[in-house]
Amino acid sequence: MSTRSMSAYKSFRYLQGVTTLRFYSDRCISCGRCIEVCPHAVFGRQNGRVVLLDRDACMECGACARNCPACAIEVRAGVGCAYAVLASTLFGKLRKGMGSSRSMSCCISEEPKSSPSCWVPAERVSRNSSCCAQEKKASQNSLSCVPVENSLLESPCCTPVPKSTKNTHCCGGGGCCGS
Amino acid sequence: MLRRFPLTRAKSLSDTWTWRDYWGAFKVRWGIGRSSYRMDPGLYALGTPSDEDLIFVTANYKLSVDHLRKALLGRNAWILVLDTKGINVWCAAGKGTFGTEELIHRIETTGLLGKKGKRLLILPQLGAPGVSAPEVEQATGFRVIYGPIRAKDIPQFLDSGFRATEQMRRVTFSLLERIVLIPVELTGLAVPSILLFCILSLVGVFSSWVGSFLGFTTRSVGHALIVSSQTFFPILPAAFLGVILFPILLPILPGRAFSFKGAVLAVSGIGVYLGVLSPLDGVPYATIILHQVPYFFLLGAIVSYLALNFTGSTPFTSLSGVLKEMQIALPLQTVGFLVGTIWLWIDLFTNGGTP
Repeated sequence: MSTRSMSAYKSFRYLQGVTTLRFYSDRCISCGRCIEVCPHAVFGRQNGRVVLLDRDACMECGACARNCPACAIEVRAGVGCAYAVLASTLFGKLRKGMGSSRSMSCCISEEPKSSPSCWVPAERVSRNSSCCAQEKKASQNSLSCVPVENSLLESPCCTPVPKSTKNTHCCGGGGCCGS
Repeated sequence: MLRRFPLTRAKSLSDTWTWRDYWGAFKVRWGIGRSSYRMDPGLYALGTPSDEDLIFVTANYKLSVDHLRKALLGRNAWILVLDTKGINVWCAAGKGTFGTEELIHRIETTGLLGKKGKRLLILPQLGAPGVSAPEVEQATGFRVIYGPIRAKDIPQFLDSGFRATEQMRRVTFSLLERIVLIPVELTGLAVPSILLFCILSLVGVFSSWVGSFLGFTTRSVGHALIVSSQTFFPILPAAFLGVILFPILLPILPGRAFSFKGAVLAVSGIGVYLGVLSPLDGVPYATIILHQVPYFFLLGAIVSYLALNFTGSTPFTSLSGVLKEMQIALPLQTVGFLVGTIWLWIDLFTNGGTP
């Protein structure tokens, strides 16, 4: 990813300095999944490491956070659609419908303004984690989630995984933390 | 644990479009029968796929499946259609119906879990907001690869060994991509317009009735209806500006906020109309202000609102941005609409119903 190739996609920009995207480079394992899924080249690779290139191009689709195996990305994911926001404010339907299926993600909170509670799959959370309260399920494949009451912006939902455990327990092949 | 069902007999699919597919695609662009343009979810076979062939995942919006099978022309492949209630991949991913749970569930129930050979899933990149690849990989043992955004890039992606170019990974919003959205936006405007017309007529008749009852005016109900339709009339140029011109001119309109861009478009639209198409030579300024200013308010508010609504059709607006913009724009639009309507109403009533 070079700056030259990026400039070709700069024609459409929305409001700047508003995105809720957070990148915790200390947790990042540089797998590059975020580069693969981001439709706006927000992430890129520099000297082999994944870096946040263009934060303000983020449209908060949540693809990066949902697909990050290391919980290194957080964003309040949602659809940038005024009609949907209006409808959900007026009828509350859309928000309800979205909430149920969004709950599987790591570090994505779906509520636009009110309680930004975060749902984290139990297996993905580090055993030492104090922030993500979890119960380890008997089955390894169980994808049951536990709610974590937390403010998205003030403190991250997933506590950083210690460097030493990153490659062994966590995230490499998808099996994550706590085992 | 997931259960290993026997592989279901996959329904076979053709990789070419018939006239019926083209006609269907045309109709849904106009919003006709769009919500029922869907296929049964499940496993489909394109050509005569074997264990070594790839599995492509898509939504059960028929146009999504159609574009995928067209792109895979001449290849053998499995197509796994998820139940997204007939919604396209990106919107369904945003809603979460094109999601981790549904994908794992489909892999399980179609018997793909026991597939030998290549255990690869090719997902459309725009499905990523709904799907957690690590979770799918962990649960099913399949490897997830996100393919290009546009189906037409799939052949090149496959032939280069799953290497997506920079351009394949970026959403675009070209003039053509904006123009195809116009018909469905127009259709979507029909119902709110009729509603608005009914409301304005009712208010007009009611105020005329109250007015004559109190002795302010002697005008008839018929006259009130004429005034109401004239108050409604600006919706036509507003629709033209907000739904047809706005998407076309989007990149060159000044500002970042859509509502602002829309207001600018409305003001310049009326300016061009007054200045070029309907010159007002010799008319006193006071008269011009009295009769034309309400249109600036009314059209400014409506076009700005239509423009704000267009955020949902673009591939680059964020929720945070929309929320911020709405907080400022909605109150202004409401005030503008009310000021414009009431002003126009008074103007029309006092001028005998002809603007």
